[in-house]
Amino acid sequence: MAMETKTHLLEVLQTEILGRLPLKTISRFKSVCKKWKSTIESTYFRRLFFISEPKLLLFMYGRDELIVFHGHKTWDDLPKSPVSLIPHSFRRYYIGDCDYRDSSGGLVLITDGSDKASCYVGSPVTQQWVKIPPPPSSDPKGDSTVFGLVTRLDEDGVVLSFKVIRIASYQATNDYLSSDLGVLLYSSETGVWTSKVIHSPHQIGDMSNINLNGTFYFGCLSVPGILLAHDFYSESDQFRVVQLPDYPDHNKDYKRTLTTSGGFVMYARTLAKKEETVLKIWRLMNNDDYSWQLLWEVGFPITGNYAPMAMHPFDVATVYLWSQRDHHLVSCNLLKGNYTILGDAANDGHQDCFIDKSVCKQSVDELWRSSSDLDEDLNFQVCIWLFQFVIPRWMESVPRPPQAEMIDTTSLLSYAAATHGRMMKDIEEEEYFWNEVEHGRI
Amino acid sequence: MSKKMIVLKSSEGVSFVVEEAVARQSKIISFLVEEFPDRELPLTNMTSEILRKTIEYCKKHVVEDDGGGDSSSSSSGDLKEWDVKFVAEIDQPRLMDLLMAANYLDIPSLLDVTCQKVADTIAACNDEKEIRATFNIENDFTEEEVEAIRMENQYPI
Repeated sequence: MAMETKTHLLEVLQTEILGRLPLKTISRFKSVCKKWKSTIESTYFRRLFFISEPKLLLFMYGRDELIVFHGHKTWDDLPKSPVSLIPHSFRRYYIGDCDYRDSSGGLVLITDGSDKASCYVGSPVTQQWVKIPPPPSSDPKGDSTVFGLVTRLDEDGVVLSFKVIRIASYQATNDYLSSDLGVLLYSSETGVWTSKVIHSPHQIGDMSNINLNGTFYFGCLSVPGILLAHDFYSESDQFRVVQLPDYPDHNKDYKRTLTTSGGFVMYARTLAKKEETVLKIWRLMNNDDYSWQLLWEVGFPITGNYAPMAMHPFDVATVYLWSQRDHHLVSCNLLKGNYTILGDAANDGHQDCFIDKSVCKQSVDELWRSSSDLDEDLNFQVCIWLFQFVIPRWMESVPRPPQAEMIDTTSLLSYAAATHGRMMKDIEEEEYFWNEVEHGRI
Repeated sequence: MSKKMIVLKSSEGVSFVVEEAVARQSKIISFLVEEFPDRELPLTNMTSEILRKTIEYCKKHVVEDDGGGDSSSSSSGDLKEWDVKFVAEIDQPRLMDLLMAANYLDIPSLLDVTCQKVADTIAACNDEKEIRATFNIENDFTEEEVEAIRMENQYPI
């Protein structure tokens, strides 16, 4: 075979071969030759990985990992979850803990419990972290808290930029009808903190939220049946009101949740009937007036007091329900109308799924406890609770803000260890001091 | 019942007589057999050695597919083991030829095992220099370009 044809054919098959390599090592192969570099950076190559199932999908409630899906074999050498990056000893301590605050576009925001001024944004996959500098001293009271992370993605899901949000103040205004939220924003594009006050026509709920495409959606405390939304990439200083699609349809047996799927905010509701569970799912259209589109209304022949947990991040036909009676998780395919019980050892297809049943049971029961004695409006309850983490779909570098310090995971952990050590020493010294005082030596 | 045989001819002009069912694992041959029945099929870009290897693979796989019916898990496991051994015994240049033969003849399962083997070989290399040496690839980057890539992709591993 002529050498020339060989080379040409290899080019054709290059994508096929490189696509099988462990992603973590792929960037190393960029420096082999120009052809390999362009192959690896090509859109086609990126999409090759896109088609496959998400490599890691995680639903968390607070610090508990409720449901974890593992995917593709290419990702076997990656940490199974972001939490596994943090040693157990850190998670146990009240002081000095690293904590996952938020996640967006595959990036996570970590706070260091001992060092309230700084936080870190990074990717558990590439293990690159940006140390976000403390907000400037103009921070009015100096006691803002790290709150959230928003990202801008391109059409392939590659993170272009991110913003870190700290909350500086929250104030009820106009006799507790409306409110003002003071925030500090750090942009990866400028590398500086800016501040703004966002006005809300109502009072924000308990700060539980979901975030998608730069916009945060909060529950509302004072008015039932609405969400408060703000796009942190916009210039606006207002929260917008999103009317929920089924308000004021009161039925204390409805269980509602807010989730995201296929790039949209989804509103899922279950109703347990005698012989079936009826699922209704709306999606929030990305238009100016925030209208809802009813996507699904499907009855599944399952009973067992099912509550909606979340939807698949990419597949709008898959929804996960938890049975409060049987304590298991089912995955429902809305298109085919069938369902499977997940994490069932007898079911070969889902060995890659881990479910923490005891935490699921406890948190779901807490969220959807019997509410017969509450008044009607309080019955209109939408639960915003699951923290969704999807591993980045592509190995892109974390956007590097001007002047920011980039560190790897090992340094991140040693930073945390150092601040933790300092805190513990301070406490010990303080204890020693009081001990001495107690014994009359000082 | 006699099985239908077809003739494949390598680039050196050596003829291989193969059961049709064996050869039909190649989508190209399947197509050619239907278009030109009872004709010798010339494969001018395949050496006898590579054609022999390809036929060996197809024979093994057709037997397994036939005998098993709904092949049990142990036999498919054995077949996987056989595949691994099959590609392990082939040296690097011939593996590339076999990969291209699988691509040309359109035999998806053979393409899959050969691609995987090549990927494994790449993954086993310690750095880009070893990869270039193994696959006879010319380095067309300048020093500065290599440095730039390195800076851009500093993933601590």
